[in-house]
Amino acid sequence: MQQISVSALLRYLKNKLDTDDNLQKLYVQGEISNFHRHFSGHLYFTLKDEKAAISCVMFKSAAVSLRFEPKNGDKVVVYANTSIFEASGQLQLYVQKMTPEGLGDLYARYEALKKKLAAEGKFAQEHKKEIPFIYPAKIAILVGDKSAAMSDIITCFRRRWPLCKTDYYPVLVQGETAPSSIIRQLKIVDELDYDAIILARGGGSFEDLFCFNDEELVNTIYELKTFIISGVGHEQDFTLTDFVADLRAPTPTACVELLTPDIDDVILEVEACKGRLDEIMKRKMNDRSMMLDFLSQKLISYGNHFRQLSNDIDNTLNKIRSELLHRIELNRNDINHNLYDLRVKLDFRLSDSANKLDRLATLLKAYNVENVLNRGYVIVRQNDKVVKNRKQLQNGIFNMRFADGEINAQEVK
Amino acid sequence: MAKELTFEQQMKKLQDIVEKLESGDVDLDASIKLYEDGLKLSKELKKQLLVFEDKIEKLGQENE
Repeated sequence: MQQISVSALLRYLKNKLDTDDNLQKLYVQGEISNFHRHFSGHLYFTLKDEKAAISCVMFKSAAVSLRFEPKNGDKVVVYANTSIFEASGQLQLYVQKMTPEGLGDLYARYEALKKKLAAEGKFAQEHKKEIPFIYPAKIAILVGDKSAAMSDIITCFRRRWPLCKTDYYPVLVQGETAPSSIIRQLKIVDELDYDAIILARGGGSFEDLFCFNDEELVNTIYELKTFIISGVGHEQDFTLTDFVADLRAPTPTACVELLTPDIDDVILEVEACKGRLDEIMKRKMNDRSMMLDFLSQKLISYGNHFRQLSNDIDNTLNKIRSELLHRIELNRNDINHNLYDLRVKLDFRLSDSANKLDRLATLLKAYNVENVLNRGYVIVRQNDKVVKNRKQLQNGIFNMRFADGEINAQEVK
Repeated sequence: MAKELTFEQQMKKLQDIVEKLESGDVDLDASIKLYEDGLKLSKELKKQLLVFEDKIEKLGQENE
């Protein structure tokens, strides 16, 4: 007889269960008891009916997407795999999804519609519009009238971006008539030239939010010309509206946060722009004035150069001038000297000639008198005066000059 | 004219001015004109923002 270990037995059993398709991906319905939420986030409970019970575990990774708060006594449907926890040999359901009983068909409808619309490309990323603005001016908001979502959105707009004109369009956000109410309003606002449309609703159960899983609503959103953001429920709630919208926000408040800038940031940005303007202008002026300095420096140095040149020219001119003056002076001296010479010579000649002339004249005069005397004439003088006629002759001695001498005589009476 | 522009358009204009100035291929006269326009715009934008901040503050106080 073959003996095997407990581990081997359980491993064998586990393997049998894990590979049996009939025991995997099961929907099992029952009532919750012994519910326990471990601090790690895992859920442990027993699922039972009147005749039987099986222990269940739902790991944290699956539990976070629960859309309701399970408690003892809840009738639920779980989607689970069957397996064995080897350490205790216990047969367990490893629960992946859990919904309150009665919702099962809603889920099925949701999944089926999601599949269909996805196949039609309604959720395609390529179809989604980019946010067309940074500073929205006019936004249409479709929310439940006087809902918490509405006041959240109003508050958020006031806080972040009060410059935006916000128009609120109350719509039904729960119940069978909600989709048609939303569709009608969407079609109206799509024609009103809004920067964006917000479709929002606060948290609720899967059933509450089910109106956002309407096929016609999805198609209407798909056809919108205006950018639309959806914020339905809370972080973990996904509706088909969220999938088809251009942008999905986890909450109504987040819609506003995604669409708007923070006014304080914008103020800073405007200031930064102004700062940059100032800085650029300062730099430009600085550049220009540096260029100007540089050029004027150049001009000055050219000026110096020219001044030097002109000094050189002046110096040369002065030299030439003084040289010329010097030469002129020399020449003038020469001329003066010559003139003086000439004058001296002339003077000499003149005086010489005058002397000669004098002498000659004297001689000439003398020769004239002699000639007369030689011819027998006598010159009579009395008292050193020439006596020219008888009347002039007075008594007394007078002088008679002959050619060969003179005598003193006296009249005989 | 400036009044009719949206905040987004005005902001874009301001950023364009800054970029144009920064690109450097604008002569000094044009720069000064741009600078003037930019200052005017930033003043106008800031005014709009502050008006709203004021309003909000008042609303907040009224609610208290």
